[in-house]
Amino acid sequence: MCVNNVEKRGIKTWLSNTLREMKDRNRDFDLVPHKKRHKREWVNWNYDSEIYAFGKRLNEDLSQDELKKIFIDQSYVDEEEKRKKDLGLENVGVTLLSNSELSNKGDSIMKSFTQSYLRFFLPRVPEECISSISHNLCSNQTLSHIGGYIGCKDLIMSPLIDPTEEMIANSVKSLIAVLDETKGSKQCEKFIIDIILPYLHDKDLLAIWDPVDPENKVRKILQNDGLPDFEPRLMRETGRNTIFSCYIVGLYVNKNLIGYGPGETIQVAQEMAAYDALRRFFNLTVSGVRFKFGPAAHNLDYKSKQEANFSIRDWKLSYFTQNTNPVESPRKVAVSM
Amino acid sequence: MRGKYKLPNHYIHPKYCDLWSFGNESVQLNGHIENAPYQGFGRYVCQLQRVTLKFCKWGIGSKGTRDYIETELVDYCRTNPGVVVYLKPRRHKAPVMVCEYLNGSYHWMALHGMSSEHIKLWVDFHTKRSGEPIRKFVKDVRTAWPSIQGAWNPFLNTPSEINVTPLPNEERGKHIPLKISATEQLLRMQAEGKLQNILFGNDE
Repeated sequence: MCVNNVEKRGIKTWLSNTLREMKDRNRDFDLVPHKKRHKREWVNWNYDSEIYAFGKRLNEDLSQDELKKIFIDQSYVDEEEKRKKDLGLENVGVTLLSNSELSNKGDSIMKSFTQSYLRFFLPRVPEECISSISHNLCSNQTLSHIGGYIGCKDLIMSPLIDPTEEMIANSVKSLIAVLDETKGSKQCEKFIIDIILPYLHDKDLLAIWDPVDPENKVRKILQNDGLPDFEPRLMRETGRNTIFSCYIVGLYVNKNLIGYGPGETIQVAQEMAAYDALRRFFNLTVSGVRFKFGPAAHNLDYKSKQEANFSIRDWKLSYFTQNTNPVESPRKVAVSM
Repeated sequence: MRGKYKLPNHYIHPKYCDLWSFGNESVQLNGHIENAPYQGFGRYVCQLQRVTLKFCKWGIGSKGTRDYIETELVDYCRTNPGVVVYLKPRRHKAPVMVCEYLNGSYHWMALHGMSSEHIKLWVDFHTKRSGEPIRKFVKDVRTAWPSIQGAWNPFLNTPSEINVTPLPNEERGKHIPLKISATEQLLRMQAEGKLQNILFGNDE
């Protein structure tokens, strides 16, 4: 008879190895990530408290109902109506109103105010540039960036987990419209100055505008002033016929320098010189743009600037300089080169 | 293998991937100051949006957290109405604080055994933060302009006397070596009387 049959007890090697392997995988590299959930699905979420904190955070005393209606997106309204229809409960209960109307109103308020703000601080800049910067400020990309930083993102009522840029931008616009309706235009303007307009701080406004064909624009301005066409001249050059070539072209009017710029070809350098000339005409240099933000900017006379600035077609140097030769002043800037 | 966890090659110890502590020197983040675009211009907006305190009603490790909630929390909520505070009593669990910021980041922090005063200091610390990870600043200032002087070119800051100098100019065209050549070094040593005869010496 065989007596070598000994009962083995405890955890088998294969089991311990398998468990260890499972734990390792769970630990790091093979881990299946959790399903993404919206913040409202978590335990620590109270919509009323969040809405209250949103108003307090921005230091605006708006009522709960006013604040709630700016976050109701059209997609949420459609979803709710569809759900009611499926249940056969049409025309029952409260009908939701989306923020699309408010956001349209806020958009027009913001556009008109940002334009008059820009005209106040940039009197020499033509209207094309003003409207371009204003359009950039009111774009979905900019407003969604700002809206994320005031806490709109989690509060938006929509079936999506991550709200789109347009939804966040719409909520910011409708917040402005609600401020205008309830607290008056003054408070609304203060909000725009404090929260929206600082986005322009330290930005290159000429780059935002991005004018096409700058040479023709300079030519047009000189024509308006009754001055002769500019004369491009090669100021310096190095490394001709190499990949390191650099040309500096200056634009001269009546032997006065109006702008210069470097480039790898003469053509590019001339275009850069035209950009430089426009920058000096419109005072869009680093030291030329001086916005005010915060309390210093609250009580300025923006209403006087509701009329449009001169368009490029009518823009004249003689409107802004009292010298007999208006092109003379930029030359002094260029001397240090 | 036995008795040891098998760690993948790219495993980083939590001590070194925690962006909130200043960390080991080899893994410190460095960069520029970052904040919300409006911050510092108009009105101040607190970047902390949500605090969740998890604690036990019975455990001794949560004693300080309980004291904080009883004595300090209401005052904190009055002074900071823009921060939503949630309390989650959890039986026989360690006390924990989770701070969530407007930029989407959050910070998990253990409060085990901390006193009420200690917790107050930490909560105030997180209230004043921007939510960005702690960085070693490479510069004190930050600007969105690519370059104040414009893109560099070989003629930047050229002296203005070049405008009236006829070129080619021998003075300007001279080669300036980065290091002094060996010949030049010997000539200078000879001029100063320091040059020695290496083989026989100067005494001979």
